[in-house]
Order: sequence, then structure tokens, then C-alpha cells
Amino acid sequence: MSRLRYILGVVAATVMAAGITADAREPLATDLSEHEIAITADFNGMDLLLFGSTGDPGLIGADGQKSNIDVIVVVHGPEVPMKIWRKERVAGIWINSQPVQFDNVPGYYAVAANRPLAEITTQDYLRRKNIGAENLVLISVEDVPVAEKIELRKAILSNRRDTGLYSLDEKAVTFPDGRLFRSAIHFPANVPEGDYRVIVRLFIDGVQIDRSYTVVNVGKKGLERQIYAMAQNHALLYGIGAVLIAMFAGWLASVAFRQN
Amino acid sequence: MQIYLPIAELSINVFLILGLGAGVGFLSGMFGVGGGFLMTPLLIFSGVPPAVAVGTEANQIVASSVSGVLAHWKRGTVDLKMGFMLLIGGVLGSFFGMFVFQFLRTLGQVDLLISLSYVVFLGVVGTLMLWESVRAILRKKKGIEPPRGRRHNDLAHRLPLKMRFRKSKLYISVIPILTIGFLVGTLAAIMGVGGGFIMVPAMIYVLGMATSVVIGTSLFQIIFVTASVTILHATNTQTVDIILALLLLVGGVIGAQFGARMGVKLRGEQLRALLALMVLTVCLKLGFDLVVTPDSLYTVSTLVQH
Repeated sequence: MSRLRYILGVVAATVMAAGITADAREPLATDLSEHEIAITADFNGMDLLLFGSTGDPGLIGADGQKSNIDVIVVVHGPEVPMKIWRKERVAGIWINSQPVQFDNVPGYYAVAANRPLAEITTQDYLRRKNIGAENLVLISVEDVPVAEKIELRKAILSNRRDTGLYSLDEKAVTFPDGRLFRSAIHFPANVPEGDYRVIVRLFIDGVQIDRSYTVVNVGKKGLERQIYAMAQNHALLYGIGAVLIAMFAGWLASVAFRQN
Repeated sequence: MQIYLPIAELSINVFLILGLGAGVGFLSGMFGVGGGFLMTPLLIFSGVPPAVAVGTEANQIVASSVSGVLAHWKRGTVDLKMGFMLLIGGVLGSFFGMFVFQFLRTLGQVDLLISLSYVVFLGVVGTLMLWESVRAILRKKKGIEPPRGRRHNDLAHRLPLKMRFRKSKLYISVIPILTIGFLVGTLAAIMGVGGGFIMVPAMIYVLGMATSVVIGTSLFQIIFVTASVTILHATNTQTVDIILALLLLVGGVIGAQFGARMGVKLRGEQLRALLALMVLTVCLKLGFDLVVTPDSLYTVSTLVQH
């Protein structure tokens, strides 16, 4: 299915690109193999395929040199409030000290490119456009000194990387053909639910000349959805149900093993 | 084969969970304990969030204690009156435990509370059990008969509000009974255990109950206390994962059957010494994790949005 969509997408992009006159700048066109990720019982992470066309093949610059064409893909998950505690040793035991809350930490953040970001464009540009986890603006609810906030930021980012929710792959984007590119985007099993913004930026010689924007929705489906919704919205019924199921299972077990 | 747990919100290997259930079930069948005090830490070690481990394990214990109590019921080794008194204290205790749990959760200290409770209770109970069973083994070797007769606890007899418990062969005050129930209920809500490992010794040594009805009565009250804990966690923290509980109890039920057969072949004192060593191992592991310098000096947690 996704394979078919991929082919159709490429065909569409190519037809679109071919229909435009040579001197007008052909737009960046992108699409995803899926626009919805269903978390079901067998969900164990998922790879989406992003593909697109840069529009023009290798441009020729004023000096006759072939231009550098680069693509940076940023997938920005739903923002979730987070609390972070610094651990302190009290009587030999490590315990959490006062928490600091951040309200706008992306629950997932992935960057993919065809080569190192630093080679594609300037640090200044990356910072201004908040590209890359280091350049995310995280706002704390409590007032904390700047030095401490830098430490907290680092800790949040490294924690997110450890859980696989933040990633940077500077080789993920490939150009199988001059103007067509593709990139796999990995969603680990622990992805939070919500809408994910997929932003593709096209750079020519270090200057962003086009961008595209798509949304992917991640959500529990089927039984997983029902169990979760029941636990959240009908907590008392869910609790009583869980107890009754357990009692029944216990009774069943004692009956099943009675003869032995 | 991986399965996604809807409440724990993680994907976990089905066979790992079935294996954990079977392993702990085997031990609980062999030793005649609920196994919650082993299962909850093991779930935490496998990456299940501590709060989910506690809420879910309480749910699983409902099942294992129901299947355990039915056998005792047929043999007539359940003291219903004693069981009711204990569960009154137990249900009240579970409310109190839930209150403490929620309070520390808002402070971000609930994982510490769970670990510390485990270290303290497993440490104390494990040491006492080891001490007692080693002494019993030594006594047997020397051929000395263990002291016979019931240990009379003065306190339970001196306090007011006395009641007669015919099956337990007791005429004692209800105050220590309610207190023990309350303590066990509190621990059940905080630690995700049935509390048999505290209650059984307390019933024998503090109350002086007839040993034949101790296990059945303890199981009887555990059903209701863990049911109360399950409902409290479901409504307050939404951390009861029914899929995880079902997988655990399938493994647990099968393991318990084999464990029970194995237990018959082994000698009581050695069994208790073995269990004590296991309790102390889990205690040391949890204690070590509290003391050792962590990889990251920060705890990061996503706040659940409702």
C-alpha cells in the first residue's frame, strides 16, 4: 500500500514538475507514505517514508559552478509539559530536589538531512529558524538563573535522546535521482499521541528557497484506544471491571487446575 | 513478540511478561506468598513506570489470591470473622496509602517512596525470616525440639474491645487486628503488594492465631484490600494496565501450580531461608540503586494531560 502510494506520489510530483515552464522556479513537492500512525496492540514503532521533488535539478550558479542542493526535514511532535528535577544526595540517598517545569517541550523531535547541518547552512540561520534540538526555545514556568537553565536544557535534551524520541540523522535524506529525494522517519514505540508537523526545507547554496509542511497524526486505535479512553473517562467503571476480570480469572484458574 | 501496553504506553515483549508471571508465580506457589513484593520491583526493573507497576500488580494479586483462597475455603481454613475485621482496617489503610501516594506524586517523590518502602520492609522482613529459619535449621541439626505451645501476646489480650474468633482460637481485642489491617492496606496502596509477607508473621506472632487458618484468612483479606487498591489507583492515578495484569496472571497461575507441587517436596525451614535470601536480594538491589551515583543527575518526567 505504502509502496503504491510512494510510486503514485513520485509520478504526481514528476508530472507536476514537468508541467511548469522552465524559467519559473518549480516548487518543492513532498509527501509521506502515511499520514496517520495507529498505535495498536502490535505497535512497536514505525518508519514513515518521506519523498519529494526539489523542483529543479542541479542549478547552475552565476560562476558556472553546480549549486549545492540540500534538504533538511524536521519532524516536530506535540508539545507536552515536562518536569525536571535535579537529584541531590541527602543522607547518602539520591533524591529529587525542587522541580522546574517546561511547558513547550516537543514530545518528539527528529531532524534528517542529506549532509551535516553545519555544512548546509550557517549556525546563525539554524538558530533563527529553530532547526535542530539545540536550537529549540524551551520556556520554563519557574524563574531560574541562566546558567542553571542551560544545564536543565541539556539534561532534557539528553534524556529525550536516550528515550529515542529526539534524533538527528545527517545521512537520512538521499537523492536516488537528480531532483527526487527520500528519507525514512522513525517513530519509536514510545511516541506520544498527537499531531506531528513535518517541515521540509530546501536549501540552494546555503539559502532556504522553499519549504513544505505536512501533518502526521499519531493516535491509539482499536482496543488500545478503548482501554485507554475507558481508563481516563470512566475510571471507576474501569477499576471495577479490572477487579471483576481478575476475580473471574482467579476462579477460572482454580477450576482449571482442580483435577491435577 | 511485542505487545503495546495501553496504560503503561510502552511496547514490551510478551514472553518477558509471561516469563516474569510464571517465575514469580512458581515462587509464590512454592512458598505460599503472593509474590507482589517480587513482581512490582521486577516490573520496575523491566522499564514499567513505578506507578503503573504498583497499580497493575495490585490488580493481578486480586486474581492470584482468589484462586488461592478457594482451596482454603473448601478445607475450612478461612476465619471469616477475623478476615472481615482485618479487611475493615485494610480498606481504610488503602485509602490512607493512596492519599500518601498521591501527595508524594505531586511532589515528584513517589518513586523514592516506593523504593524506600521496599528497602525498609524487605530488609526487615528478610532479615527476621533468615534469622528465624537459620535458627530452626540449627535446632533441628542439634536435635532440640522447637518450643511448643502458643505464643501469648499480652498486648492483644490486655486491650479493650475484645471479640471471640472461634476458628483462630482467640479471644482478643480488635484494636491490634484493625491496626495490622490498616498497616497492610497502606503498604498495599504504596507498594502494590498483597502484604502477606507482613501479615502472616503478624498474625502468628502478634495476634497468636492458630497457624492452620493464617494463610487462608490472610488471602481472604488480601482479595478485598487489593481490589480496593486497584479501584483507588484506577480512579486516582489511572495506572492500572489491564493488558499487563492479564498477561502477568496467565503466567502466574501456571507457575503457581508447579511451584505448589515443588513446595511440598522441600522442607519448611529451608524454604523460608531461601525465600528470605530472595527478599534480601531484591532489597539490596533497590537499596543499591538509591545510593549509587546515577548516570544522569536529572529526573525528567512528562506530565500527563487530561
